[in-house]
Formats: sequence, C-alpha cells, structure tokens
Amino acid sequence: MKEVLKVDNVTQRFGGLVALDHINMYIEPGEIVGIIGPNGAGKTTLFNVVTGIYTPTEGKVYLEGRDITGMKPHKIAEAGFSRTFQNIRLFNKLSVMDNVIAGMHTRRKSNLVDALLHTRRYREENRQAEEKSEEILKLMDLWEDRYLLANSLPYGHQRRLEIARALATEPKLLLLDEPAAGMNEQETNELREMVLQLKSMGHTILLIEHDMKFVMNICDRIYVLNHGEPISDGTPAQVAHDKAVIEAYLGEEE
Amino acid sequence: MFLQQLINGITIGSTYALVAIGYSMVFGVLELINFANGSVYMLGAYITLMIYVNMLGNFWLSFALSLVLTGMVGYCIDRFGLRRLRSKNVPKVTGLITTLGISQVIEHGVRIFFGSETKAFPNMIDFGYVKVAGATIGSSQVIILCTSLVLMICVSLLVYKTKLGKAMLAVSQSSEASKLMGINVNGIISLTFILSSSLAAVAGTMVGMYYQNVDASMGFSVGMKTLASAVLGGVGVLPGAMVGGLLMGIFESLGASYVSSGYRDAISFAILIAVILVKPTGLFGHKQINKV
Amino acid sequence: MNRLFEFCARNGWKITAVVLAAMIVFPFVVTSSYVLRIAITVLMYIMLSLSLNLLVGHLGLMSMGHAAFWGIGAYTAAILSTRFNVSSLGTFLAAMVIAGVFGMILGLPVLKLKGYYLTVVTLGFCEIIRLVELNSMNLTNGPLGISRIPSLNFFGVVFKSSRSVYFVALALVVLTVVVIYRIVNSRIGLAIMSIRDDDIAASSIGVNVFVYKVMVFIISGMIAGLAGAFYAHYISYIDPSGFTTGQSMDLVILAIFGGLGSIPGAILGAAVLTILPETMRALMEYRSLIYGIVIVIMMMVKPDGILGKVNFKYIRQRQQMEKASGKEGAQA
Repeated sequence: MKEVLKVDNVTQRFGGLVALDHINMYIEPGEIVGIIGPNGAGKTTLFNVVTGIYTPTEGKVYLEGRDITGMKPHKIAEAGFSRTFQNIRLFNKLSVMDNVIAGMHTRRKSNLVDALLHTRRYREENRQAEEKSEEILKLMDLWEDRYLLANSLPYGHQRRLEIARALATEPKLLLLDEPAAGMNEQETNELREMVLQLKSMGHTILLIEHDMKFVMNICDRIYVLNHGEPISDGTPAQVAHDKAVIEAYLGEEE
Repeated sequence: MFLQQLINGITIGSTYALVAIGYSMVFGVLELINFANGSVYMLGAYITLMIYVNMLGNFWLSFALSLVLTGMVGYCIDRFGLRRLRSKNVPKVTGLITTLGISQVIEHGVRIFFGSETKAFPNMIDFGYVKVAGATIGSSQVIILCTSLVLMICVSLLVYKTKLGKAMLAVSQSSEASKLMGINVNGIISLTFILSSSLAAVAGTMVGMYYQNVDASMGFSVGMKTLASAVLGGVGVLPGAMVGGLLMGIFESLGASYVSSGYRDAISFAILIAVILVKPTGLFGHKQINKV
Repeated sequence: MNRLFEFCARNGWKITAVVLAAMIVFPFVVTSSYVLRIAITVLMYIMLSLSLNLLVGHLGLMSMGHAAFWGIGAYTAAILSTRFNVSSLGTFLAAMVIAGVFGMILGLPVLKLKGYYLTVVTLGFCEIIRLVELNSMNLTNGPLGISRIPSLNFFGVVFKSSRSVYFVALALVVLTVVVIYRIVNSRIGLAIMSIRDDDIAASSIGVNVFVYKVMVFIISGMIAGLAGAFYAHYISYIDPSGFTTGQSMDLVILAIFGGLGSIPGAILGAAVLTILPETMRALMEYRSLIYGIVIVIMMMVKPDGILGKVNFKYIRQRQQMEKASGKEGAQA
C-alpha cells in the first residue's frame, strides 16, 4: 500500500533563514494526520512545499511514490493534492456553487472548442458537474447557500466552502490549513463531524491546527514542528505526553 | 554630437524627473498611479502663459501664481475626486480610472477653453550659450538643469530629513498605523498632491520655455513617459524616480539621434518594458511579498 | 432597480430575442444614413468593448493597449485588400490571426507582471505599435495612412450601402456575443474568473494560470482585430492616429462604465458612451471631455459600473430556486 504522501528530508531555506529543517513525514491512505506547533514553526511553509508553491532547497516530496518535488502547483493539484488556505482564498465574485464547479477544473476535459460549439462532451460534463457539486455542497451543508456570492457567506461557511472546493478536485490528499481558525465551539464541532465523515468516505487528510482539542480528538497521528524542526510525532496520546512538545508550547520547566 | 545629445537628454530628463517624483510620491502614499499628473504638467504651463499674456504681463509673477493654482488643482483632485473613494470600500482600479477621467477632463477642457492649436511660449531664461568640447550649452539648459536639481534636493531633504517627510514615509508604509500614531493621513495625502502638482507645473513651464511652445497634448505624451520613468526607477521610490527621469531623457535624446527620430518615444517605452521584464519592480523598487 | 434586474434575469432570452429582432428591423424602419452610421459605429465599439471586457473584467488584467489590436487588424485588412486584392473574408481571417499573434506577443512577457507594471507595459506596447505604424512607410504608408480601402466584399458581392454594412456589423457582433458568452459560461470561463479572483487559489485547483492568461490575450486580440478589419473596409481610410493610447483609455472607460465582467454591461457601456456624444452633435473635443466627466462621476457613484455587480445568471438561479421551494411549500 503506497503512502499517499512522503516528505523525505525536506529543508527549506529562504536566504539565511531555515524555515524547514530536515522534515520527514508520511501519510497512509485513509489517515487523518495533524501538524501542530507554535506560530512560525513552519507548518504552512511545509504545506507550500508539498503543494508546489515552494521548491524545497533540499529533499523530496512523493505522491503515491511519484516524485513531485518542484512541480508547479497546478500540476500537483492535478496529480491529487488539494488544499485550503490559512487566510481564506475564495473566488469572491463567484457563487458558492461556481466555486465548487471551478474546483472540478482538472477533472473536466472540455476545451475551448467544446465550449464554443456546445458539443455533447460539453453538455454531458456540465450535467455531471452540477450533480457532483450538489453532492459536495450537501455534504458540507452549503446547499441552501449555493447561489449566494462566496464573499457574502458568514465566516464559518466560507471555511467550509474552501473545503468543498478542494473536495471538488477529487484529491488523493486533502490539506487543510487551520480549518477551525476563528470558529466558535459549535462550528468547530460541526467541522469535526464533517472531517470525520470525510474520513469515513475514504479521504486522506493532513491538517494544520492550533485548536488542541480539535486536533487531539480527530487525528490518527500528529507531527510536531518548532522553529522548522521536527520535535515529535506519534499518536495524540504519545505526543501529548512528550516532554519536548510541552516545552515547545509552554517553555522550559524550571 | 554624443555630448550634445547627452546634454540635451539630461536637461529634458531633469524635467521628467520632477514629474516622475510626483508619480512616485502619490504612489507611495496611496498605492495609486495618478494618471492626471501629465495633464497637470500641461496645465501648469498653460496657466503661466495665459496669466502672463492676458493678465499680468509679468512672467515670474504669472509663474508663481500658476504654481499656486496648479497646486490647488492637485489638492482638489484628491479632496473631491479621491478622498471619498478612500472611505468607501472600492475596488483598487476605481481610483486609477478616476484619475484617468480627470486627466481627460483637464486636457480636453484646456483644448476647448484655450484652443487646441500650439501656442508660442516665451523663453525668459535665454541668455546666450557657451561652447564646450564641441557641444553647445544654452543658458536655458543650465538653468533648467539647476532648477530641477535644486528642487530634487529640496524634495529629498523634505522627505528624508524633516518631520513632515517622515510622516509621508510613514503613511506610505501603512496609513492605518500612521493614523494610530496621530498622523493626519488625509492631510499628508493632500500635501503630496499639492507638491507633486506644483513640481509638474514647474516642469511644464520650464519645458514650455525650452521648446518655446505649448500645446494641449503635451501632457499626455510626457505623462506617459514620466510614468514610465517612475516605473523604471521603481514606483514609490524617490531616488528611483529621479534616476528614471534622467535616464529616460538621455535614452530618448540618444535614441532619437542614433536610432531614428520617429521612434524616439518608442525607445523610452522599449527600454522600460525591457527593464520591467528583467526586474519587474524597476531599478530601485522593492519586491512585494505575497503571503500565501 | 433591483426589480428591473430581476425582470431582466427572468426574461433574459425573450429580451435578447426582442432586441435582436429590433436590430434586424432597425435599418428598414430608420433610413437616415447618419443614424445608420452611428449604429454601425456602436456595433463596432460593442465588439471592442466585449473583447476588452474579457481581458479586464473576466480575467482582471488592466490592459490599456487594446487599441493596438484594433489597429493591427485594420492595417492587416487594409494592406491585404489594397495591395493584394484579398477579399473581405480573407482580410477578416488574416486580421484575426495576426492580431491574435500579437496578442500572444503581448501576453507572454506580461504573465508574471502584476498590477500597475502590467498596465504600463500594455501602454508601452500600444504606443510602440502606433509608432511602428507611423514610421514604416513601406508597409503602412506612415502618417499618410492607407486610403481607398475597398468596401466589404464577400464572394464577389460588394457591400456598399449603409444598410448592408450594418448587417455585416450586426452579424459580427452577434458572433462576438455568442463566442464570449459561451467562453465565459464554460469551464474555461470559470478558470479565467478564478484567476481574477485569486490566482494562487486557482493554481491550487489545477488551473494553469499562464496558459489561460495567454489564451485570453489572444482571443481578445483576435476579436479586436476583427473589428479593426471591419473598420478598415467600412471607413476606407485609416492612419495611425486612430489607434492611440488615448483610444485604448477610452475603450477602458467604455468597458468600466458598463460594468466589468458583465457581458450586457460591456454592450451597454459601448452603446451609451458612443451614442451620448453623438446626441449632442459633438466635436471630437467634447467626446473625450464627456467621457472624462462621466467616468469620474460614475466612479464616485457606482464604482463597479452600471451592471458591474449584477450577475443575471445568479439572479435567475436564485429565482428558480425560490420558485422550486415555493412549489414544495405549496405541495406540503
């Protein structure tokens, strides 16, 4: 069984700054894996490396055994990694539904000629797109809002829409960057239910989070970063009791 | 020949620098390209001429009045055109288009009111010329160059050495933080507009004297070139604008004589495009960091 | 106003059919040559506005070089027809191809540029093209321009009367509207608009941003070139002064006035701003002055343009959704 993601000794330098220092990580299909660490630990940088926004200074990234190091972001998305962003990046002038259908871009094949001539492939794909978007929107509980503009949604819904759009790419790995950020207790619980449901549907998920309760309750395994360095990994229970982790978050015990 | 073209180029380039400074300063505090700057340049020259010919008969007084009036026009552009846009939540392109519209209003307003034919402009600084190493240097060139340099130094001193200048720099970094520090942001922006318009008026009048004519379309073409100069030097960077203006003048002058005079304007743009493609932020510009 | 938009959204197709019918009947009802010529000009500006809108409104790149493609198309048609006796079909196709190539020439280098840098380069491009037109005596006759361009000529049939030229223009506009509409409402259109709204997010869902940017430059250039070819045959004389950066800026004003990213907006903007100066029997001077005043006021009052924020497709979808849930409520 191939690992969905393998991060092999990745180091990311920006000039003199070492943002990531020899990171090793793997994810098996169907897992929910979390990345935690204090602010500035390099978590989002790692996401950016995995999704192709940065090319790592050293090391390699593998998608189901295939070396994707340095590939362009849109190619990696096509290959099967899909993500959400720390600061929400929705297509604000498009409707909720169009955001999701836009997400299906790489899975649809109709081209300019099809669009101009309304060929059968075009019409067929349009119909499928509408069906699929209905599935996803109902799953993320956004179906009622489907024709509203993305930026008119309340914050929590916007975060869900980003996830919905990422799902539309039919990803092999879903990367969620602080999906619960800014959510209240109830919204966080709803989000947790949705993520667990995604797992039960067979999705593999890598998420960054600051909300400890959320992470501990949902992840199969956790990696801990601090100052770009890996300081621990394991099950939630193991990590919670790891001295190094406690130190990183709370400072050294005197 | 080369020296002559170089001298001509530096002279005209120094006037470009003055206008380019205006673009850079406004961009610095507002992140906006003031398309009306070129038309204000033309307006300054026209107002000087019209007051001189039709009212006062004293050139220097007319010039001074023109500076004041043009500065006021600059103030009005911001106060009545742009300030209200800042309080609303408008797309970034709105301010740009507003200044575009204002430039059209000014240029074509001048055409309608003053006529679109080329008008003669007196050269009040023609005191003869000297010959140096085979090149002719006219008094107008020397005076224009010196005036521009003095103004550039003054602006630099203002921006980098005075409290007011520091306020301008602060606003260009973050208007929000500046407000919190008690800086009157709107006032600084107004001042920037007044300053950039007055500089443009000086440049316009000097160029009018140099070529001894003005016409309503001079603003548009110079506006484009000086915008290109500011971008060449790195928009928002003051020394960049000055260097950009001088370089643009030199390239234009050399290009016109060595390549082809018909393509004179194209050369400036071609160089600008080449620089932007190689270093997109211009010669002295800062890289914009895009957080993902 | 919202009621009006809702009405339009609901009856979109009917309204389009009525408008189209009116435009077909128009030249038989109104026979004044002067009015027909204005109509033809409006139609041409609609083409220019729609093609620019694709670039500025749907893709979100503020290009101020559009007049260059118009000019390239016009000159291609003029040169081919005056020197090589190519018929209009040939000149139209050639104009589109050449303008498209230039679209690529402009589009490729600017791929990585953002914001104002892009705008300035497009300005420079427009100016350089104009200067080439002005200085290539051999190719373009320089400042003298090309005159005695033959009238529209398809398969041996000459279109000389205002009415016949009008129908050619109308056909071109209908073609343009259909092409742009189909592009915008397809997977390609969504990709393009996603780049506008957030190009990094667009990459993250697999959109090859570079390819689509170049594609839009090419398509919008081709349509402007087509308009240029038509213009050359219609006006029968062209010179470089008709395709300046000033013209490019006027076109931007047309597109923004009607509403960026809106197809009916682009049409409306072109129509209103072309007809308006004519109703005042204006000189060239007044036209630009009017544009300036109009756009400044518009930016203060409605910065998104008249139809900028109005998305008829979404309004119609919401209406259908309400109707459907209303039915369910009634059945329950």
